[in-house]
Amino acid sequence: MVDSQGGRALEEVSGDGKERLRLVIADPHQLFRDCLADVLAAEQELAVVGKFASAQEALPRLGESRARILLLGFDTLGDGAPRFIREVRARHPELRLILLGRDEADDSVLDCLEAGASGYVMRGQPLADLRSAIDVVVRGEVACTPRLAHSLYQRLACLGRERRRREKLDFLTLTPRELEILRLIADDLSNQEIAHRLFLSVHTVKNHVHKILETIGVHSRWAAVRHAIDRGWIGDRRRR
Amino acid sequence: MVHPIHCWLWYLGHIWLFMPEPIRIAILSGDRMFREVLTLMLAGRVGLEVIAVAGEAEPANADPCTVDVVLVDAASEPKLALSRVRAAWARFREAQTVVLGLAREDESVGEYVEAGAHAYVLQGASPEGLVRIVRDVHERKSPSSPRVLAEVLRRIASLSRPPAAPPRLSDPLTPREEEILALLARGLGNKEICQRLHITVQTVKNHVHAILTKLQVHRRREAVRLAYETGLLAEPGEIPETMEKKA
Repeated sequence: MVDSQGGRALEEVSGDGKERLRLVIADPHQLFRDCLADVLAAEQELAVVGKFASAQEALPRLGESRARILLLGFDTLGDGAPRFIREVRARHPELRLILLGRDEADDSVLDCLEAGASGYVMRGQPLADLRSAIDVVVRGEVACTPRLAHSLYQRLACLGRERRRREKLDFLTLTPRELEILRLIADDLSNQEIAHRLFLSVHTVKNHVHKILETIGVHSRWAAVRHAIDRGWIGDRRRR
Repeated sequence: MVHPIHCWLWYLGHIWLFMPEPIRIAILSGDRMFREVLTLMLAGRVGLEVIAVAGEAEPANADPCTVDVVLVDAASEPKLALSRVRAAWARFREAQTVVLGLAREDESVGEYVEAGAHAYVLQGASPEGLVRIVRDVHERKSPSSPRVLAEVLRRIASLSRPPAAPPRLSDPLTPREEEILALLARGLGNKEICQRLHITVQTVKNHVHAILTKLQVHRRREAVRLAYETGLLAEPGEIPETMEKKA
């Protein structure tokens, strides 16, 4: 069932001439949906341009509605939520999604945020929270509860650790000899001193250094040392 | 007969019994004065207890298991702050890490979160604000601005990619080959390996060849990387210094 636009002629602009923010609501609970639409439509800056009983019904109509925001009952989505959200985001990159939830398991909400939803507001929260979430997501930012934020932080921290692990293994892009020379550079030795220490000619050392800078993709010895210390290839001697 | 003092003792006993466990806090900061004012301020709060204070990356006297919240000062030495947060996160596995003294609430916060921070406190925050965040983060909540959340999600999106599946070796390495792979990872050359294992250079070469074939790579270093990535070899803690030293 579709009761899009509610039969009411829609004013494109609000009283003060600013364009209204166009909203679509998709939620199976009809009474809630209608009341919410009425309340939001009463605001100067907002216009409710569509009301649907489910996400699937809303999807084909989003384009013509030119909506900026989709308020989506999370409970209507089921397991396919992240996939649906990706599809919506791919088809309508300008559209922001806010999920209305009932304190679902953190993981499933997290997956939806990663899939591209911009906000998660629980039905147990006051209406004012939903109202401020709308303003937040329009700015391109993200609204969710501090508890979800904690889970997001943890996920990023784990990914960060993974990344650092990978970067540490990049020491294998240098040959053992190059790594040895990089260590000596970190110890503040000049090319001459390195050559002397390793029984090489200065020319050979220069070649090695050149190769190191090229492999790492930096332009100075100092940057190469910094790069290596940041990734844990060599210890930070200056701090010892 | 019940003396009033008994009633008092009974009453106090209940208060003691139902007092929640205090939140145990460790403070890491390079500024001694900041450490001291922070300790004094927190000591005056009900339900908070500062159990370790340190200027270095690790407090020598704290058992990591007993710390609930670690406060890491990012303002005193901004350059070291990130590595401090990483170190705190690695050392206090069970604890919540809070970075203190960020100048702005912007994209830079994402870097600290990636390093393992569970919450952040701005330089402009009030003592009450800090206490509130400590209590929140202890309950596994991270109060964040919408802008920071957007940055966190952006970073998650850019970092999450399907992990490289470990190659299923149809023909697993023999114990001897694993031994040699471990020596390769330590940077040893053919000659050193043959001396250490009392076998000929040619045998070593044969083993190395077998390893490369089984792992389907062309170079020794690729084999070592693959072995680290897939867990065939344990992570290098310190990268070996002795790389192919001449005997």
